[in-house]
Amino acid sequence: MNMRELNKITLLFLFSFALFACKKEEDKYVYGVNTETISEAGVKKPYLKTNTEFISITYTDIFGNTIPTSQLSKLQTGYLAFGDKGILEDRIIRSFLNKSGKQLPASIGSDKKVFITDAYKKVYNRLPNEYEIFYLENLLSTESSITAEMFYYALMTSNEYRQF
Amino acid sequence: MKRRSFLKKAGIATAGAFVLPYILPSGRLFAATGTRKVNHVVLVMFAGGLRNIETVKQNQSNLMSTMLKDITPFSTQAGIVDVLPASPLGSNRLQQYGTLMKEFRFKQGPTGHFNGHITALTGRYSMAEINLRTNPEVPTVFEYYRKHNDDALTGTGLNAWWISDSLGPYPALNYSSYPGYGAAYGANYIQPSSLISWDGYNAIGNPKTFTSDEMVLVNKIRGFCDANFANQYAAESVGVVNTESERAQLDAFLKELYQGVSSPGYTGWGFGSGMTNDLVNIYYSEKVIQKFQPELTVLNMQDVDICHTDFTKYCNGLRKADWGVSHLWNTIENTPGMAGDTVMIVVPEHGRNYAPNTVVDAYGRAAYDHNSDDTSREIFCMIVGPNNVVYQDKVVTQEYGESIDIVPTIADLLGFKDRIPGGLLSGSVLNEAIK
Repeated sequence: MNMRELNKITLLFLFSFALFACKKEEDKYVYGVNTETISEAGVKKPYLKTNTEFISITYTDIFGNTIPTSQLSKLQTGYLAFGDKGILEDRIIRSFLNKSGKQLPASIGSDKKVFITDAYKKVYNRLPNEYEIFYLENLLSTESSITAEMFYYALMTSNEYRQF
Repeated sequence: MKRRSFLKKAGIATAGAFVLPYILPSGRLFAATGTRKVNHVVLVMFAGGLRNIETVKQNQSNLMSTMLKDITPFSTQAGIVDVLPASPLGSNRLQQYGTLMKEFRFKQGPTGHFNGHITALTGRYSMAEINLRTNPEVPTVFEYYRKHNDDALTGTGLNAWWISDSLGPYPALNYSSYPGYGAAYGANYIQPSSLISWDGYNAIGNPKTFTSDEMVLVNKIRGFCDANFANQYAAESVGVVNTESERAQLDAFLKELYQGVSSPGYTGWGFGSGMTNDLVNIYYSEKVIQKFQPELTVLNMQDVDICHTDFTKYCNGLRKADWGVSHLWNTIENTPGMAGDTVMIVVPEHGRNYAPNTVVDAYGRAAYDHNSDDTSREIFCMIVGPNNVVYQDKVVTQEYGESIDIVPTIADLLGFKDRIPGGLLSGSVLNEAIK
C-alpha cells in the first residue's frame, strides 16, 4: 500500500467517524389536543329536578310563593300517573298560567334587554350571555305578537328548566 | 357451445341455485326471523291474588259467569249478590273464543303482587328482594317489542301501553334499567283513576291554551333555548319519550278524557255507585284501544286483594272484574283495526293460600292471604283470539304453562321472539293455546 492509498483510507475512516459519531439527542415533544366539551360558565346544570322540585319551583316562579301542600300532593299524584313527563310538565305549567294570582310581567316593556335578563334570572337562575340577549332581543323586536306570558312559557317548558 | 359461453351459463345457473331458494313470494331475499300471527296483543293482569278454588273450580258457584262455562252455575249467596248488567257477550262465554289453561303456575319467587307483575311483564322470576322505587333490572315485554319489532312495522310509543290500576311501584314497569334497553323503548303509561279524576281535572285538566300561531313563536324561543342546552339534556331521563306529533295526539287524548269525566255516569255501563277501580281501569283501557289501536297493551286489576280481610267482597269484586274482561273483549272485537286481529291473554299474577287467616267477614267467611304456599302458586290462564291463531273452546286441565311463558308467547304472536338475544328469556310459547 502506498502512501496515497493510506491517506485515502484514513480520510474515509475519519469521514465515516464524523458522519456516524455520537451526537446529543434533541428532545422531541409531540403535542395533542384532548376532546373537551365547552360550555358557558354558569350553565352547567347536570341534575334533574325531582317531580316535587319541579312542581314546587314552577309554582313559586309563577305565583311568587310556596305551593300549598294539598295542591302539591294532587299534582304529584297526577305527575306519577302518566308516562311522558314532558306532556305532564307542559300541562302543569299551562294550568298554572290559567289561574289568577300570577306574578309574571304583564308586558315585555320597552327595554327588551331588561325583560330578557329578568326572565333568565327568574327562570334559569342565571344571566343570559351576550348571544342569547342578541338573538332574543332581535326576535322580540321582529315578532311583536310575542307576549310576556308566551316568553315565560317557552323558557319554563325548555329543557334547561328541567335541570339544575 | 363455445367454452366461454358454457362457463358463463354454468356460473349463472350455479349462482341462481344458491340465491333463488331465498327469494320469497313477497320479494324479500331472506325470510323474516319471525312472522306475526296477529297485529295486536292485549294482556290483562287479572291480579290481586285469585284462588283457582273460586275461579276455575267454581267452589263458590261460577263467580266468573261471563268468562267461564258453568260447572256450578252462579247462585246468589249471603252478601254475594247478582247486580251485574247483562253479559257483554250475550249467552256466550269468553272461554269459547280460545283456550283455558286451568292449571297454570306462578312457580317461583315470593307470591307478592309486584313480583307477580314483574314476572309476567319480563318473563323472568324475581327471586331476590325487589326495590319498589326503581325500574325492573331486566327488560320488559314493552322494550322487547319496541326494540326487536320489525322496522317495517310500527314499534312507536303509541303502539305500546301500560295501564295500571294504582300507583306505588307500578308506573316503573313500563321500562327497565337493563343496558341497551330502557326508557327509549318503554311503553306509554297511564294510571287513569288518579289522573282522570276531579282532582286530576282541577290540577291539570283545564290548562291555558295557545293558538297555533302563538305556538310557532313559543317554539322558536324554546327551540333556541334547547339548542343552547342540547349537550346537557337527556330526554329519556324523565321517562318514556314520544315524538312531537305523538305528544300532540296524547295531549288531545287527555283533553278528551277530561271532557268525558265531567259528566256523571260517564261509563254508561250502569254500575252507578258500584263502579270499582278495576272497572275504571278497564273503561280507560278501552278508550286507549279505541283511540290508538295499540299493538301491545297491558292492563291490570287488583280489587280482589280485599280478600285479605273480606272474602265476600273478594267474590263480588271477582264478578265485576269478570264482567269487565268480557266487556273489554267485546270492545276489542268492535274496534276497527283490532277486531279479528287481536289476541287477549288473561292471567292472575298469583293465587292465594289454601288456609285462611284469622279474619272473618260480616257474613262469617274467612279471609285469605298469599304467602307462597302451593295453592298461592296455582292460577289459570285464558288466551282468546282469532280461530286461525288460537285453539277455540279448548280446556287444558293438566298442569301446563307458567308465568314466565307469557312474554315469549306475546313475542311469538307479534313476530319478534327470534330477535330477542339469547339468555334473556327462559319460558316457552304456550303452544297448547297458540297454533
